[in-house]
Amino acid sequence: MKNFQHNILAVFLLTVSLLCTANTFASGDTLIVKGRIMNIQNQPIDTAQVKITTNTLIKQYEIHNGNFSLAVPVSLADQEITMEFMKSGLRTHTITHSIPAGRLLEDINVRLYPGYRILLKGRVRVGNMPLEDVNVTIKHEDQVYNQKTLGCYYDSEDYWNCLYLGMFKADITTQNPNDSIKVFFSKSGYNPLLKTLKFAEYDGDLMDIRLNYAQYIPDFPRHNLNLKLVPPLKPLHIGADYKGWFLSMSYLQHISSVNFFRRFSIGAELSVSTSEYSDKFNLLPNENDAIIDSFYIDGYAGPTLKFWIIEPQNRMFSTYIGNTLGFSFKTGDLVNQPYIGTRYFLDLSKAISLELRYLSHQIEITEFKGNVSGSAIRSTKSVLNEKIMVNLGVQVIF
Amino acid sequence: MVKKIQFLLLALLLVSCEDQILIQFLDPDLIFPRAIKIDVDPYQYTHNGDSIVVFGDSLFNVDSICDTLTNEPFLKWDPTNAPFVVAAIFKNPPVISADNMNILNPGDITWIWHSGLEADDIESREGEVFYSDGKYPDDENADFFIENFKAIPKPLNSNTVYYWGIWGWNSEGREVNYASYPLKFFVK
Repeated sequence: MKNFQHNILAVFLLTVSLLCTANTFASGDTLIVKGRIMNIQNQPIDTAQVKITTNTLIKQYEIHNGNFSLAVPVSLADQEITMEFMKSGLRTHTITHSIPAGRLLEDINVRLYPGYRILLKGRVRVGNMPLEDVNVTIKHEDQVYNQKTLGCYYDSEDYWNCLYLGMFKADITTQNPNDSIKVFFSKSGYNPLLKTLKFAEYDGDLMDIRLNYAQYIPDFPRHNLNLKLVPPLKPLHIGADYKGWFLSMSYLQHISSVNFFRRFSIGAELSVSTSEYSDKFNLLPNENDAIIDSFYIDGYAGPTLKFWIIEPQNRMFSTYIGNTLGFSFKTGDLVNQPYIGTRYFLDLSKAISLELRYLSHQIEITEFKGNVSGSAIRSTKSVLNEKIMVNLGVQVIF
Repeated sequence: MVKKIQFLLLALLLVSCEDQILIQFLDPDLIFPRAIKIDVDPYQYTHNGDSIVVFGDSLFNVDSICDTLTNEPFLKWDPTNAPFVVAAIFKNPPVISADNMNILNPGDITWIWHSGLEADDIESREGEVFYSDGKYPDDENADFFIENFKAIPKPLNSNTVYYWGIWGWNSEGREVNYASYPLKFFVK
């Protein structure tokens, strides 16, 4: 009876063994992989990833505390096993090994070296002015970093801090130093800019990025505040020794910002014109002439109308013609002051203008006649004062 | 801010008071009271071997006393370096208009010298003028015009009281800027 029981157990075990063998031959077995993963200081790395690739399997495991013992299902068809050990910030280490018959791989010691990491930083300027709120998009493979350049701010000690004005920075890591990084810069009113560089090319210095203004200013320049000051270019009528200045302040507003009428702007102008007139006369025989310089000033106020030949959104050389109908403070006459000029934006809200203006008005000049026995004898005369002026002006646009 | 306003007001006050500041220099005894005084310091000259002493300003306004000069006096004063200077001898005291701007009796000028005559290669210079280098009116009865003073001077009348003075302009020639006292003298 006892032998019978032993025989049955033996048959059972044999059957199980045969079944297991048959199963192994049909679907494969388990490969045990053991080892350690360390950094270059021989310290165990916590929470690393390992990607196992065989002919029939791709599987990822997580390793904790540096030691690992992995049970990898393998089949008879699998000849090699490839293991990629990965850790953020460290370079990936790949091992390829043939699968041993004993289904055991021991003492796999892996050392992960630090990865390539750069702190990409730069300052965006227009001309020499740092520029804040510029959209900076940094692309590296499938990673995208979006940010804006910094502005001034009140720091923790309540100081107005502009140390980082126009700056950006991004911490980027890669496995391959030949990887490319693309950096896009964009801001309304400026031409977009793309910078491409390789990890290995970046030397850690602050990138000096210069944006250029776009051809058109982003917002329609609806309101214009103008200040013009110049000496006259050429007197036309009054005399060779004529000198003087012209000062003007004006405010203009565009009639519309959308259709053809955006080319028209209307406003008011206040101007002052000065004239100097040199009168010569002979006081004493054989002596040089006495020269009296007289100074005349007149102010004008009145409406002004301007037509933009080249559209006002142009940043450079938007050209206009116009006329100011000035009411003379001194004589009460209405004086036309036609002009033609052009404008150049220094930035998006300030511009300089160069203008040619014609002014024709009557002035009462004092003439003198020498008098040996006292003061010169005075008389007044009305003369036509015509002049062409080249005005150099500044504009604020809002 | 208040200081700035005060400064501005002070500056405006100074500008607006320009005439009043000038009035501070007004000397009613000068031929042109608004002018800067031309000094006539005592000096000496020789005429026909006689030594003549001229007391100039020091005798001005001293009652009953005046210089006694020859009939062709030598006139000397502190040079002004003004571009236009006139020295003149009057038959009567010069009379100035109410606005202190003009001599009302230019017809009393009997002899004149002016800086334009320096071009005639004469010995006289501004500050030191010989009577013979001046001019005398062609027609003593004609109206006063400097163009009428062309003749070689006649000697002054003896035993007669005259007045002499100097005045000058800056390069503008607009108003008289320098003037002396009208100095009375007696021709012996």
